[in-house]
Amino acid sequence: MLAADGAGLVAAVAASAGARPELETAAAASGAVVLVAAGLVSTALVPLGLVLVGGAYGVAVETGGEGVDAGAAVFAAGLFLAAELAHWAHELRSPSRGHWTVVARGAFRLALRTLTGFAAAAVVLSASAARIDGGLPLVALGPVALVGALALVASLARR
Amino acid sequence: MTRTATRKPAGYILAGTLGLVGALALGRPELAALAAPFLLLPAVAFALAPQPSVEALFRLERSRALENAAVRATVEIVSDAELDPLELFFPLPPGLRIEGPNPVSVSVRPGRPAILDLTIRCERWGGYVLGEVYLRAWDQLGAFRFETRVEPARPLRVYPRDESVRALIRPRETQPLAGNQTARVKGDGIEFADIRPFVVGDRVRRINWRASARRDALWVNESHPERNTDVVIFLDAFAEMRYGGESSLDPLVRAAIAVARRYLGLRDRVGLVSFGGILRWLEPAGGVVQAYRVVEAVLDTRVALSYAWKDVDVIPRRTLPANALVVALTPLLDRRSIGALLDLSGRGYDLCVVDVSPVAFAPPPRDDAERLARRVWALQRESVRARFRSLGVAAAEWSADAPLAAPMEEVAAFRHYAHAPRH
Repeated sequence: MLAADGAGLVAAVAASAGARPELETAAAASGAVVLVAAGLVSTALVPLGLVLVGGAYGVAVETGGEGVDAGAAVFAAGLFLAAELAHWAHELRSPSRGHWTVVARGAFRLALRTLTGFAAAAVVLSASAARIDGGLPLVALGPVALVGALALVASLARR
Repeated sequence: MTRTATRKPAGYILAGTLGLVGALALGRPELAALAAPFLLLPAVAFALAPQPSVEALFRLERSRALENAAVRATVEIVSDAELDPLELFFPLPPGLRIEGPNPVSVSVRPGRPAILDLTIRCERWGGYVLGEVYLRAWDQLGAFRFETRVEPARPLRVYPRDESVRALIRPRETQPLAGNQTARVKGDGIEFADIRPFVVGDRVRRINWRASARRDALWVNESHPERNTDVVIFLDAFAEMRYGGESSLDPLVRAAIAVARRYLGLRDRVGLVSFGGILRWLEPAGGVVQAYRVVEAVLDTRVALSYAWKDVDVIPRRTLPANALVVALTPLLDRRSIGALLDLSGRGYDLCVVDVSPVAFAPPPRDDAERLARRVWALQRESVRARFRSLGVAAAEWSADAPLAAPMEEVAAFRHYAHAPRH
């Protein structure tokens, strides 16, 4: 499981390294290690690792220039896969869930989720590439979208 | 089932929110793309979260088993939602064990019952109530945990394995009813006792013609009648010693059942007094039904911690009939039971003591001090037995790895040669 977790992170870091090398990649890699370690200790620490890796990636793209990183969707999918693997590793600690049929079904679902995550990230990226000149209302659309997205998740959580 | 969110959606929402805020602050769409999968998963999970309803039916192949036997159990699970995997945990009491993994996972499809076969190994005698099952499942995205507990109680009685007893202790006195014990008194019976001069009213068939011819007068045969006896098994349940999952109460219980069965087989009446923190008793009676009663009563024997002083006065009088043979099975661990037995002896009961040795249930000594303590303990136990013997009460030690016949023979031999004290 550790190997699978590591593989997911390596994929994420590799995606990052392809676009932004050197210091930022090292930061992302160290964040990934934190993510692995955190995932092995407790699932409560996984968000910390996610924030570290995401933060390192944010710094990398910010210092990298104006252009949009084309590998962002792959990076997002890799990071998502790593986080899912960290949670799955904890679930597999239960002896009853170590049977190969359970593991195989879990792996299939994990792959499906990762692909969906990749698609979601790709949709967001492609949406950002659209050239719309809308002035202030369009600028305000960002915070509104953020609040709306969070409100949607919160309302669903209350059900 | 109770629905609880796992840590995953909360963590993902936190990370996703920070990603979106970062994207807005830096004006980088890459961070929004990074946050998208982490927000999409909780949103989908919350929107599609099922509220499954699960029913589990627990069945036992049989409700009675012998010690070390295996009992098959079946759990039938029906759910209105797909649960893959559904984890089942069976919290079994000590003395029972599931052969195989516990918890165990099954896959349940909606409307299609899933059958789970289990094998329960009965490692220790006792009365158990089974059927409590904890069920746990997760949704397809791992965002929710569903838990419930079903409690369809199924009783399981595990009977202790039998001890072999060949010779039984003969009672000093018998009861008036017919039985298989040869009475010490003279009367109508088969066992020859003595001859005496003929008196008016004696049957002709009882005349001993050989003795009469030798004495020139009529002499008749006398015989011992076959009577039954009352046996009360005194089970000392004040204290026990446990080591390695075994208890000193186990051989005590096995011996009690073996002795009761043997006496009941001889048409004697058998009663039971479980003398401990909780007093249990069974009035003497005979027959097959009484054998089952004794076994059921013994199965409920537990050591209940109590500091209250108890003596024989708390035992109902009808449980201890006059002239009854009292077979005490005791580990000689508690002063209250020793005092009660001495009291019974003082009151003139026909008492014999089988000291079921708890030494094997003590942890092995680790150093010289513990070895010395063990020797002192053995001497104390021997002195208690010697005290019983000095009062005319047969007392023999029985180690559970030896046959029960050994202490029974020792007690019988002591009673054969020793004179009972006159009261």
